[in-house]
Amino acid sequence: MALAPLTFRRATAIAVVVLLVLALLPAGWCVYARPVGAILDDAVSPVVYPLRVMGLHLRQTVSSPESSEADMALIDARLREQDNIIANQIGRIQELEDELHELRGQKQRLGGDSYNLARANVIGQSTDPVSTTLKLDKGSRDGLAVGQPVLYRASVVGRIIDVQSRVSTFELITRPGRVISAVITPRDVKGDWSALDRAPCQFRATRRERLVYDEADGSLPIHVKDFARLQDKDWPASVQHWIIGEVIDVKTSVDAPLRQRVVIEPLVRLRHLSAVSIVMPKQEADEPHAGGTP
Amino acid sequence: MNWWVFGVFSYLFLAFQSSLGTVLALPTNFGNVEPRFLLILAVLVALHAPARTTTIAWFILGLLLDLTTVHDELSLVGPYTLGYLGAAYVALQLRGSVLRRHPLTYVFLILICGGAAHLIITGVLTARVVVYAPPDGWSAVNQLVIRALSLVYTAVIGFIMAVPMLKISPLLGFQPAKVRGPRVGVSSPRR
Repeated sequence: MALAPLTFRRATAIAVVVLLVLALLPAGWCVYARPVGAILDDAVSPVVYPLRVMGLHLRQTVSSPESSEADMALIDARLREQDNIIANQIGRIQELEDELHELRGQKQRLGGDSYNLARANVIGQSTDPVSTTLKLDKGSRDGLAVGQPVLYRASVVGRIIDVQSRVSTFELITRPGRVISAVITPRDVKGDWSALDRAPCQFRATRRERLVYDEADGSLPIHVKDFARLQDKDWPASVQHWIIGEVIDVKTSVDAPLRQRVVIEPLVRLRHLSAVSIVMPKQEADEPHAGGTP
Repeated sequence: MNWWVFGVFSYLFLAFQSSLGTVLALPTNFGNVEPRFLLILAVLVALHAPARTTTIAWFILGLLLDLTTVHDELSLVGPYTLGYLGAAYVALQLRGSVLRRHPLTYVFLILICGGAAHLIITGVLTARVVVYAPPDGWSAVNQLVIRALSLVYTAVIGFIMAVPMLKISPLLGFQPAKVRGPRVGVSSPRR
């Protein structure tokens, strides 16, 4: 029996059917796209990375415009601005000192012999507007593996969900709907805060890059600027007790007066990250494996 | 159409989307709203290229988006490609009745064709949710709202980019005589 000639219309219809099947494949079978996507990510990264860095720098500049020197009033405003900058810098130095202290504590907990930190640049994001993933310029040949936590300074920002040989993808902790356990600790506690014996709270990520917990015990002394520290068995032991954000709002629940609603926000705008660190067990870092996605 | 130039443009617009999307993102209650640069390129092609070329070009652009998108820890080929194929069909139906060199045409086509594309994309993703377990926090309404807001944002960017896009369109090697709309008293050639 002779086959009907393949016209453009028929080819389109076949393509639609094939695409529908591909789109509805079970999750375990959806492994065909990432290797090709990784090649694409790798190919566009020479343009994406500088554009992203320049764009973020420009955005920062536009959001805090410098004053004109022509007008005395503006000069006055500029002087005040300088004063504010100095005050901010003093505050920043304090923050950095706190962060240094935090990092030293975490390094001690990690144990210098067990883990390595690998630095990676963020070379782009998922092109889907509702996605919360970022792409890194390191992959399996650099020792990265699925599930490894991603850090920025002293805070956990996400976890790797896909690894190719030269690029990888990580998902932010603020993916809407994600539930993550954390304990709230006072910001000024420098020593062993675990002595506070706080129960972990089940925070749920919202669409505004925040994490919310509605059922906190009303008697707990939770304050704005307190830290939320990861304490979740679904996350690797290496990042337990790392900071995931700070409290930005605490309110007594309207429906249950004995409960508090706690809102935490990451310490940085996660979608604007340009470089991150990945915690890798030492043997993985020393012996990079060549495998792709499991 | 010159496919080499189209390839270079696709590469650049994909890079714009991957990099400037975050930079230009506007935070809303529904999530971040980002412009869709590849849709602007797709509309340029739809306005000037023959029907078959338009379909293939939109297919390629959809495929590029699929390959660079991660949906809930999965890379899927299908949602964007299907969406863009559907949108290409809508664009081909509409382009005969619009002023091709008017900046507002970009706004109109981005909204209509983008709307069609994202309806299909959300439909396919929702079908996955129906067939398999929904991921945490999935909401089809939220998907539609955020995609609609992104389209409006893209339309604004498209309006700004319309004139430069028209200036660079000769580089793509379109053949205006074959794709011009019907003239009074002359039957339009079959595309």
